[in-house]
Amino acid sequence: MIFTKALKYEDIKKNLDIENDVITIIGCETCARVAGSGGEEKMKVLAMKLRSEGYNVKDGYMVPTVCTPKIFFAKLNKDVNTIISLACSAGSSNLERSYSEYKIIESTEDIGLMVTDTDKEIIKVTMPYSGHKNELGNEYDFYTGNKRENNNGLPIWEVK
Amino acid sequence: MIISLRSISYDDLKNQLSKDDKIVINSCNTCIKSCGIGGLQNMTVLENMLLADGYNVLGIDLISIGCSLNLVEYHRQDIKKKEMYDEATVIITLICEDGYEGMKYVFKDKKVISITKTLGTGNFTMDRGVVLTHPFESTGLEKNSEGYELDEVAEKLGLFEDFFDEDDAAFKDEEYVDIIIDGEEVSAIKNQNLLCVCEENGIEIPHLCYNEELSEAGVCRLCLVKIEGRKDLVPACCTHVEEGMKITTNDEQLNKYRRIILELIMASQNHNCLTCSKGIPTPLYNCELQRLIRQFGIEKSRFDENNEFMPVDNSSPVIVHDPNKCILCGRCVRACEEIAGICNIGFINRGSETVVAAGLNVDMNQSDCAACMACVNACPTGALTEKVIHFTGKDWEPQKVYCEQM
Ligand code: SF4
Ligand code: SF4
Repeated sequence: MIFTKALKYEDIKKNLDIENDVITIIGCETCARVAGSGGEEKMKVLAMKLRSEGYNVKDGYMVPTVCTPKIFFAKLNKDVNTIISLACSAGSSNLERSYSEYKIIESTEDIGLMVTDTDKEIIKVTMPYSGHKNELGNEYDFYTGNKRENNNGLPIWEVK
Repeated sequence: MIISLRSISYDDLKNQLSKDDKIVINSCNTCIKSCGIGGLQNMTVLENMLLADGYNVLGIDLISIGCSLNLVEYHRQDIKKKEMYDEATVIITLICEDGYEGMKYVFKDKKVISITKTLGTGNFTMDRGVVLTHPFESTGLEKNSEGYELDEVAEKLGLFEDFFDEDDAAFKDEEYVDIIIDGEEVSAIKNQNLLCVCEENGIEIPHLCYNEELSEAGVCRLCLVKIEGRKDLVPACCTHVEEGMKITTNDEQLNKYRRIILELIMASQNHNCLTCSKGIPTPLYNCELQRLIRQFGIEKSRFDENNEFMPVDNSSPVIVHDPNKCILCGRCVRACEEIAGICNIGFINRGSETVVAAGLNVDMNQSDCAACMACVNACPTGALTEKVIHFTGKDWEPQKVYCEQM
């Protein structure tokens, strides 16, 4: 699975135009939800915060996978011109290609690939992207993306 | 999704094996399958190649999500697979490099061989198949939102664009039998599944409970056929061909029975296609029940419809379970046991009260579900579907798409 971290709110906001953007938020139910950078709650928090500051957030869609044609389950409102993607960057590329006339705003950063344990609800970064090599072996909690203190929940190699 | 290509040739693979090895082939059933180098069919191809070349292959095993370590561990400990895995000395795994790390951990007492190179992340597209949009720096490729097609990447990086070629192995000496299907002579591999033999020969037999990734069950009774010398009808999906079999797959009596079964299924629950995500067939989803009902030209069931409405379970963040559309084929139950390795869902109650339920009849989000989607992918109707939610209004209220209520 793909491990992503949420960008800071200010970094998302700086790409939005409060006057002209009519926004929908599209969230991914798969990797980004597990990684804690996406999911239902994160979408709501972002939507409500943007709305409270005067941004025109029309609605949102949660689809099974943003990196596949399942994004077309989202039936965009005719007024919408901007999509905030709560998915990995491959998901955002799919949105860019499929909705080329819309402004696509990324809200996450790819960290690398991860293995998981769905019982312990632990994520472990196994193949970090360049720029995140120090993440190798780091462990995070499911759904929140909170860093775990020790990296020995899934001891697949010698603990760092 | 994670994008990988095959990195070794069949000869490279054989160079890592010895004839004394006891081999198990397993595969993740997610990204690697979409990349064309994993899944049941490819495992079967490789198994046949290695057997033809004299290697000792103990078996194959499909795993819903190979990068979930606990699921791999459950497969290893599964009562039906444990002996096979315990005996194995080598695991050939069709999985991305990420999952390979976990596979080496779970099978640390064995030699684990990977055949893939993982190149980054990308998309599954309808027109171009899988494309690589975010390559790892190590590939030397730039990020490309349009996406690189896999044959192009394979050529650039000196990798293989598809799975092993069966012609690279010795000829597999199979025992063939001659049978007669609907008056036509057919040659088939001895003990091959009759339903599959028919399909390979262009003869379609209606079925709902059979799925090639799962064990045979024979519960829907739609594929009943006549075999000369057998006292009664037999399910093609549980019959294995033998020399001289004479089979009738299609006549007035069989089609009458099939029609009655389909009408009974229609009447048994509320099969309202207008509020179902599988209602409109697409390459991603199609309702197998609806297809058969159309094929048989059934417009209305002659039996009284059961109007009792059962609550829909929306509790899972990713799955909707609508028991009103369930036909009790058991594909989900077998998928959860055999592909997920969990046995989280099963049948509860008896007779007309029978339903599929998670755990000890708890809501899906209270159960041991790993959200691996093996059950959803196996379900032939709209009873188990992926969740799509539309958030609207002042309070961002969730509303399920394709359904009247949340
Ligand atoms: S219930 Fe379905 S999604 Fe959950 S573990 Fe079983 S097969 Fe996977
Ligand atoms: S939920 Fe789907 S797969 Fe499971 S028994 Fe019902 S129809 Fe079959």
